[in-house]
Amino acid sequence: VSTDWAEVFRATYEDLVRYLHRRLWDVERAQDLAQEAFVRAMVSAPENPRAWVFRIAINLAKDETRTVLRRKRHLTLLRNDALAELRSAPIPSHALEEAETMESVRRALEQLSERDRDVLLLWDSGLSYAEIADQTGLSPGAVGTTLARARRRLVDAFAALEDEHAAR
Amino acid sequence: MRHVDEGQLHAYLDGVADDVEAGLTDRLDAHFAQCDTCRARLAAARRVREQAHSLLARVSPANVHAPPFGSLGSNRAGEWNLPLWRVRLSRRANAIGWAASLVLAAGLGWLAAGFRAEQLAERSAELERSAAAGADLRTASASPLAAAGSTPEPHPCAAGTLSITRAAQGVALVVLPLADSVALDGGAAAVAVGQRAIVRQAEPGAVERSRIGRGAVVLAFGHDAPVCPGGDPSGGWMRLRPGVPAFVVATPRENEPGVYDVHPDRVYTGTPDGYGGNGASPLLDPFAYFELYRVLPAPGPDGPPTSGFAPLWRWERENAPLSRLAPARQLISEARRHLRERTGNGS
Repeated sequence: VSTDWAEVFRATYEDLVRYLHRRLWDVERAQDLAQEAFVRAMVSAPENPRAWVFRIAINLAKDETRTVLRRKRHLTLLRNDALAELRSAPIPSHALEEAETMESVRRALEQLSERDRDVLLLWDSGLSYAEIADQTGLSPGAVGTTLARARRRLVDAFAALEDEHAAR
Repeated sequence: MRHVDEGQLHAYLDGVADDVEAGLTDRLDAHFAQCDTCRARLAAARRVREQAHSLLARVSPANVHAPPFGSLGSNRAGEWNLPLWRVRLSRRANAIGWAASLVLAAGLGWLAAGFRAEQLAERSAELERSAAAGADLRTASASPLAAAGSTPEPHPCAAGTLSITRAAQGVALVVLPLADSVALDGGAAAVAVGQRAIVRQAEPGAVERSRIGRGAVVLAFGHDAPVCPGGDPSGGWMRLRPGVPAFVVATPRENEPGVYDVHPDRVYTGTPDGYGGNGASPLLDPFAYFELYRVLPAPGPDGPPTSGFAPLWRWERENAPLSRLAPARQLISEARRHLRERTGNGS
């Protein structure tokens, strides 16, 4: 059975970008990798195209994370690394509260184990328990348990960060 | 039936309990009907699920839409036709080039910084010698940046200087001396009293407890309160790291007309809790905001406590975006232009 990749692309692209963005925190790079995942996926004839694209995207995100970490280590060598910080978008004052909340969510997510985070983000990107199980090697029952733990830890970590922030 | 485990609770809430185990939804419904404990746990799990979903929604990228399917991969069309090993080789070559550039840039940065530091140290010593001899600092001035090989730019004033270096934390304080007052950066203090001048460079992060200036235009880089977590939401003045004056307040010193003492308690030092403390606040963006002051030779019409400094120019990045590559240079250029316009020869 031939795959209607245009339809898969239309139905999956935004979910994929959302997932990648929460792994990389760079929306442009997330979009690049989402497209790259599709281009690579289309070479094959997978049984479940959507899950296949996500599988490729997960691997791309892992590669990208490693690359970014290497670059960061190089950047710390630079005396003028403060300029590198300036490449991030400035935070308008009226959006400060929102930006701080986003930063807390981001930090809370990063406190999760990689497996917990992956399961949580994949579910939130629209994958079913079965698809998540297929991606992660967990049983569908274990996906529920992992998801429950990930949600609880995310909420707890966020609350702790907010408390910490309020105490300052 | 035993109590429902947490994974099943969430699978139930996610509507996929039957995917986990055939007939699980019906069994759980029956159990919830007769188990208060599990109903309460279900409610708690629902709250956690909703909170987690809400938090994730806060970090969703906005305005992401799928591009036309036909354009897929077009930006790398050449690459997709290559064998995988060629793609990997090409990317590795790019990565090596990138790494080499970084190493080269780092090396040049260290060299340049070291060279500028030497220039600065020499300059400081020269100024101290000049001050001790009672010399006019205006004629003894030189630009470390220009001396370090940067593109020379016109002086902001007839015989002024421009000194800038970067503190370890990325904060720069620039002072454009117009009279007999000089300052350097890095949390540095500039003190000029009458014809005597003391120029010294403080340790990065150190809190300077007093500053005395006369006839100086002070240009300080920093970020304003709204970008500082926990900062004063009213904003207004700059909030900087310790060691860099955010807003200096001058009060007249008795029996020394024309010399103004910056009250140590009024040097705001960048604390998340409020002005005047010694705490450090995270520097989010050192180029978000700054103001240009001129130290008045006499109290201004507004009276104390701000009469000794006259704000000349306020700059905010939101209103005047800077180049990402050279914000300091661009900022200085803007400041010089403004100085020329406002003060003629800068004096």
